[in-house]
Parts: sequence; structure tokens; C-alpha cells
Amino acid sequence: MAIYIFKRILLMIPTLILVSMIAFAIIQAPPGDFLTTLMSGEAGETVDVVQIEAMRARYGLDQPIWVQYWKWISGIVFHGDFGESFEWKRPVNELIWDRFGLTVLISSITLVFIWVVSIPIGIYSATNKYSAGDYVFTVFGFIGLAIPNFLLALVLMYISFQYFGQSVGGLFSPAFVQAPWSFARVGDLLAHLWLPVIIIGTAGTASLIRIMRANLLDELPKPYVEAARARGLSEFRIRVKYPVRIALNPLVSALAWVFPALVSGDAITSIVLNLQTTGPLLYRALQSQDMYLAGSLILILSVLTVIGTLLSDLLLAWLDPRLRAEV
Amino acid sequence: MLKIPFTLTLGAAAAAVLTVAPLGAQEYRQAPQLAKMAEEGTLPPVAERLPDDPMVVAMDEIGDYGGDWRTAIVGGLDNSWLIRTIGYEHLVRWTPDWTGIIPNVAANVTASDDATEFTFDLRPGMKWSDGEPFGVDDIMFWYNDVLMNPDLTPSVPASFTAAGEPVTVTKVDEDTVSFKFAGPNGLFLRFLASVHGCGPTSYPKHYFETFHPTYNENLDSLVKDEGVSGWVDLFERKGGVQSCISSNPAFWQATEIPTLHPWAMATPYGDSSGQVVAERNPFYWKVDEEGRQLPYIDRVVYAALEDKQTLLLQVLNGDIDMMSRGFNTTDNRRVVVENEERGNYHLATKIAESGNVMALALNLTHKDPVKREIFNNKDFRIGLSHAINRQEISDIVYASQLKPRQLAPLPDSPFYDEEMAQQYAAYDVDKANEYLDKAGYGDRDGNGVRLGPDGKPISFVVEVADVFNNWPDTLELIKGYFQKVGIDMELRVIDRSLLVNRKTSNDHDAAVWGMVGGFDVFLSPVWYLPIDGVESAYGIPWAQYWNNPDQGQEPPEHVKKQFDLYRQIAATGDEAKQSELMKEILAIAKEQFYAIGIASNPDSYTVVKNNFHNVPDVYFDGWTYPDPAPLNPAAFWIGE
Repeated sequence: MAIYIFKRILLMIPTLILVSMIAFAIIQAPPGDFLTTLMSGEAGETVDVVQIEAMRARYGLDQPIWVQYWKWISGIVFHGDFGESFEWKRPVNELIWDRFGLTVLISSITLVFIWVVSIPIGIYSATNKYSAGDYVFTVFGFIGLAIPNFLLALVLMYISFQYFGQSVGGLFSPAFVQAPWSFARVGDLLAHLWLPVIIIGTAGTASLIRIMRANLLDELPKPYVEAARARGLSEFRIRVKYPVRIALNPLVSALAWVFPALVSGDAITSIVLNLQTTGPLLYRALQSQDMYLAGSLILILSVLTVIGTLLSDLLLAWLDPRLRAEV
Repeated sequence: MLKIPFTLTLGAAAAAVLTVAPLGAQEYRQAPQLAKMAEEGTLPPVAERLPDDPMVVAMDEIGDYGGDWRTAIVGGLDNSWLIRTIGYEHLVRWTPDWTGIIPNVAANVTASDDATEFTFDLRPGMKWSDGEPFGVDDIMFWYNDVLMNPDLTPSVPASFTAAGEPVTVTKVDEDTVSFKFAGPNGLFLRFLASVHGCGPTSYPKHYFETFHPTYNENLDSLVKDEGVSGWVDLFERKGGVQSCISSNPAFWQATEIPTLHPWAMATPYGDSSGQVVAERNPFYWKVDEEGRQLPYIDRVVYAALEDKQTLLLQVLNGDIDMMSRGFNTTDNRRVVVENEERGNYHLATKIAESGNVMALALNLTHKDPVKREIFNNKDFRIGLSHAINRQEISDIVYASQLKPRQLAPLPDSPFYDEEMAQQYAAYDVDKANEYLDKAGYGDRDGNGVRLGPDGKPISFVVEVADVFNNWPDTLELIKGYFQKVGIDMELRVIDRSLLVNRKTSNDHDAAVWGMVGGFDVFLSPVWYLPIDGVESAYGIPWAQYWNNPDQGQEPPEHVKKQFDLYRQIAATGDEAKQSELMKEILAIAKEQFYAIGIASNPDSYTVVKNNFHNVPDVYFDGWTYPDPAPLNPAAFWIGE
């Protein structure tokens, strides 16, 4: 097992190097650079050409791509320095860190919400196949899957504007935005937090319900379940101990994607709901070709995906003796 | 049509002395919380905080102190709304009605008759927002250590030069500073009053000297501590330069920078709290007519939003006190008007400065000699112009709110020329075909497309960025109009920075952008003569030649004539002479018909809460006139 883990970690290194190169190349792929974005600013807001050239030289944007890449990656590897955001004139580390807490908070609460809601419902749907309850959950599930999160956000915002006369957006009431942390502020946060959690969580919940239901339906008719029942185990124990455990496999392998999602948030929904997460930051950075910021965010997401994959593989091996045997 | 008199009083005034009379020996008053602080001794008394002769701002109403001005900024790089609301304190400023220039930070301005020397008397006793004195030394710091420092300013902007030499700024005495040019610079005060003129009054020496090698011997260790690659980067991160300082986002992030603005940043722009707050500057140097220190409003609170739809909802809900940016499109006008009552706001009109909703520029300097020949054929351009059904465009795309016109000064401008505005603008397919035949492209291929001089069908691509005014929709219609007269036009929607890139490298067949210069003919004449290497899309290489004769392409004689005239404008301080020369430039532009215009820009609008006072019902929409800043936001106030 230890050798397996060591091998996997060793393999991660070339993967990450490749990923960092691809990430950087993708950022560089569109024509122009941040300074052309700057030049295309507000009509009439012209920037002096000589000034632009000087900035290009200072930012190193006139150098060949591999030189720029080396400057960037060596800073990260040797100094933990992700470079500077051109647009914000601030270190990338600071910008990402600034928004990191909130992003992880929203994402993890959403994740817990998804699991808490979908696993019991999935189990219920599978064990009560074609019952009225199953149909109700199925309908909701499909609706949840079919509606894009951002659209749901817009509709909910419109409803709350039209009928409740309040603006949605942000995680605090205006009075609490700048306030120091206190019980009242936490309460205010909780009062605002449920909406993004539900909106971002809907699609995930719906799909997990479906996955859970389908997997469990595959397992329930299998002979080992019969055998367990014949030995007189309680119905609850039979389900939770054996078929549910196997049905959880896909959830665990999905962890690989959960990790980057924790950090990227749901960009479009965050933009619509005005959440100060890293999603909108990445979106803006890509638009304005703020390459160190965008590249670093993509790199971090990739690293998390790779780590997530490793973790989920290890968890699966722990969870499922069959996989362990193959290792 | 609402008429606002637009007279250029500057030249006459420049020869004279611009003055606003001081208030006299009157009691000054202040905001309650400042009065309290002064009483407690945490702040000097108001009379000591104000300069000896504070600037008096006369408005429609005398206001009350207090309240938050709730507004918003959307997405990244939106600091221009910060400039427009709180960031406009230059040596001189535009009058609210944009008819002239008045002293601002300077108490008096004297210009020599030949426009070579400008002398500014500052206000003795004036202070930065941290209470440190503001004076000639700060302006000298900007001049010696920023403008003339080759690392910070690799090339001195053209507006600070004359006859090829950068300006010489000298300290005359403790309260007087003089700007002397090697030759006449007749547009200098206009430039200073424009949004680009922020340099001289934005550099508190006591703050910036820490980050400058001339003053700080230990700069290297500071650079190291901050983890930047050099002192220029450090200076920039601490808020300095990037063309005009206020367009540097770092300027708005460093809350510790002392300013002369009515409100100073209390939370940095771009932090993750979702709100940017600027608080009253206790040392602000303007008073109302009763001697009460401005600003009236305590704080300006910007919601930092990511999405324009969210902003629109906040506007409709009445959560925005005054704003004219981001949401105020023609499309949204209806829903904004419908919700006036529930949101408890009204609309003010912003007269469009731009002059045209869309400028279609064929590349007259095309790299392909065949296309170049076709595009340079004036009859060809006239034919295309007549083929466009402008009224239909207005009806279909712009809710019938536009009036057909070419790229020309607006009716309220002193340079208005009806013929120039309307030439070839009539929709007339027969005439279009007649001109295209006359151009020599009468033969057609099997598909009815006209053949060019090389015997091949005439086809070109218009490149457009989908940023303003529904341009792609308009071009779809135009494509159909051109098809009717046998011209094959394709449109390609691309990202705006790619468009800039392709324009600057002269790779485009034709491009579309907004027009500037409907009013501000002097400072934004880029559609009348090719002097802008990004905007003048009909002749980018000519503009490159204008900036530097070693680059670009040598333009034809008529363009050179225009360049010459434009140089002469800068070389005179005489307003009548300047106008004469400008008219000559416009006459050449009219004769040459460089680019095709579509229709007048629809007037824009501002949302103003009903208890938000002193915002005029009608004012100009501009950027060199960075509305609403010239309307004195410091004297806006919030009632019951």
C-alpha cells in the first residue's frame, strides 16, 4: 500500500508539470495580452503607446512564452509566489486568499447539504421504487437537473424583488458588510447563506439522488442481500451495511471533482448572486487576460483535482475490499 | 430638442485672469460629527482645516449634512466610476454646463497671450486629507520625480509638451507655480480640466517620497520586503502613475494615500467584502455659499457587484441613490421608468456627447492593394452610405430613438454643420447603385456581386466587438442592405482586445466602434483626422505616423494638411483662431468622408432618488468631461 501511494505521488509530479504548461499556454492562446485589454478601455480613454510599451517591458510581456513561463513557475516552486495580478496591482496570493475562506465555506456547506439531502432520499427512492414518494422526488430531481443554477438564481432574485421587495445578492445586509464579527453578523450571514447553498446545491442534489437510486437498485436484488435477509438481519442493517456501502462508491470517486469545485465555486451563479468567491475572480481574469492570476487559479484547481483523485482512489480502496485486492 | 448653449469661452478667459471671489471674513461651519471631533480636540477647528480662501461652490439648493450616497461598481476595472464620483480635483475644472473652465485647486490661473506660460496661484493653507499641508512642493514632486523621471514616465504625454520639449514647471513662490512651454500649447487648460489632467494634484510628496529612490536610501530593502521586482513596481503598487494616476486601480486600493478629494477611501477598492466605502475628507477645501464646509454627504458607499442584472434589480428596488453607469441602456429604459414610483426615484437626462451610435470605418490603409484601392474610392463609400436604411436600423434595433446622421459635430456644438451631418445619409438604393457604378464597379458576377478592379467579387469583413449599443445586430441589417446593392459584407464578432490588436497591427478590412467628438471636438477629434492609433480605424498607420514620423505610413497630402492645422491649434492661445483652424480640419474631414456614421446616439439617463438633491435634470454624458464629477458631487445632498 505504501509503495502504491508513493508511486502515485511520484506520478503526480510529471502530471502537474504538464498541467502547469498547458494552463499557461491556454492563458496565452488568445491574441493580445493584458495591455491590449487596457488599451481597449473606456471610449476616449486612450493610453499612451510609449507608456504601454514600457509597461510591457516591465511586466516581461515582450519576452518569449517559455521565459515568461519559467519566471512564473519558478516563483511558485521556489518562493510560493504566484506573481502579481496586472488588473488589481496586487499579489495573486493575497487576492486568492482573500476570497478563499468564503468560497470554501459556501462550497463545503453546499456539499454537506447535497449529501444530507440526497443520500437518504436516494435510499428511500430505491427501496420504495415506483411509490408516490419516489415519483415526487424523481420529478423534483429532474427539474433540479434541468434548470441551470444561474437561471434558478435569476428567477429567485426576481421573485424576491417582485414580491418581497428585497434585493438579493451578497452574503450580508448592507449594515453588516463592514461590521466586525459578532453573533449578530453570523446570524445575518446565516440568513443570507441558505439561498446560494440551495441554488448551487440543487443540480448536485438531483444528480446524486439519481445516482444513489440507480446504484442501490442494482445492488438490492443481488443474492448477497437475500442471503443476509435469510440469516435474519434487520432490514435496516442489511441495507446500510452492504448495498448502500457499495452504492456509495460513485460518491467517493466524485470527490476528485469536489475538491476543485470547493475552490472555484460556481462561477456564473456566484456572479449572478454577487458572491465574493474565487469564481468571479477567475472569470474576470480570463476576460482581461490577467495571466498570472488566471494561470495560478487554473493551476491551483488542477493541483486540487489531482490530489482529489488520489484521495478518492485511496478512499475507494479503503471502502471496497475488491479494489484493495487489485492494488 | 433641449438646447444647451455650448460656447468656448476659454480662449478669451485664458488671456484674462480666472478668479472666484473668496467668501470674506465669514464664520465657517461644518458637519456635526466633525464639529464634535473639533470640540473634543481630535481635529483642528474648521477655520484651520480650510484654506485661507476656500473655493465657494454655488448650487441650486443649500443642503443639509449627513447620509450615505449608495451607488455601485460592477466587475473589475471599473474605477472610472470612482473617478467620476469622487476623483476629480484638478488645478482647473469644467463648469457644470461644460461651457468653460474655472480654477479649482488653483485659486487663480493666468495664461500668457501666446499660450506658452500658465501660472497657477494655489490656496494658502490648503491641506491633504490627512491634514498635512498641500502646496507647490507637492506639484514640484510630481513634476521632478514623476513626470520627468524616465523610469516612471518613459515618454512625457503629448499634452505636457510643446515644440517637442516637455513643459518646465517652476516654483515661483510658496503659493505660486508656473508651467512654461517651449512653444504655444493652446489646449493645455482644456487638457488639465479633462479627466486626464489629474497628475499635478494627485501626488502628496510626504506619502510618495517613501517609495522614490531620490528620497529613500533604503528603498531596496522596502522593495524586497514587498516582494516586487523593482522600485517602479513598488511605486505603482502604492498607487502612483499608470498614465493618469487615478486610472491605476492601486490608487483606489491604498486607503492611506492622502487626497484632495471630497471623500477619501476607507475600504480598499477590490477587497472581498463586497463594498467599497469612501468617507468624508475633514480637510476638504470647498464650502457652500453660506460658508458650510463640503461635502454634505457623509459617506459614498459602493456596492461591489459582479453582474449588471444585479445592479438593475438594486436600481429598481430603490437601493441606489444616484448612478448613471452599467444599467442605463436603451433596452432597460422601459423597466427603469416603470419602477420609478416603487423605487422612489426619477430620471435625469444625459445628453450623449458621442455624436454617433456607430462608426463604420473601412480601412483606407489596407495592406492589400486591391482592397485599398476600392476603399479609397470615395464614390464607393458614398454608395455604401446611401445603401444603409438608417431609419429602419433605428426602428428595429434602437426603439426608434435615433436620428440618422454621419460622423459630425452635434447640433448644439458651435462646429455644427448640417451638411456634414447629413451628407449621403439618405436611404436611396438607386443613388447607391449609381455611385457604385460610377466608382467603376458596374460589372457583376453570377450572384449579382459587383466585381472589383481585379475582376473578383468585392467582399470584405467588418470586425466588431459586442460591447456597446447592439452593434452586431445593426451590422446584420447593414449586411442585408449592402447585399441589395451587390456588395458582399461579412461580419465577425470578436473580443474587444483582439479587435484592438488587429486594428493596431492594421490587419482589419473594416471595423466598428463608437464615435467620440460630438461636442469635444478639440480633445477628441479622432474621427475627423487620424491621430489615434487605436480609435482612428480608417487610417491607423497614418495615426502612427502622426505620433512618430518614423513609424506607420506617410499619409496623403490632405491628411498632412490636417495634421499641420491641428499643430497650429496647439500653437495658439487665441480661441477665435483655434475655432477657425478647427473648422478647416472639419471641412477636410467632410470632403474626405473617411468613415460612415449611422445615427445620433440616444440620450442616456441617470437614476436619482427623489430625496437626492442638486443633480440637474439635464447634463452632458462624457469622458473627458467625466460626468457627473463636474456637477460638484460634493454639494449633492440627501433630504428626508
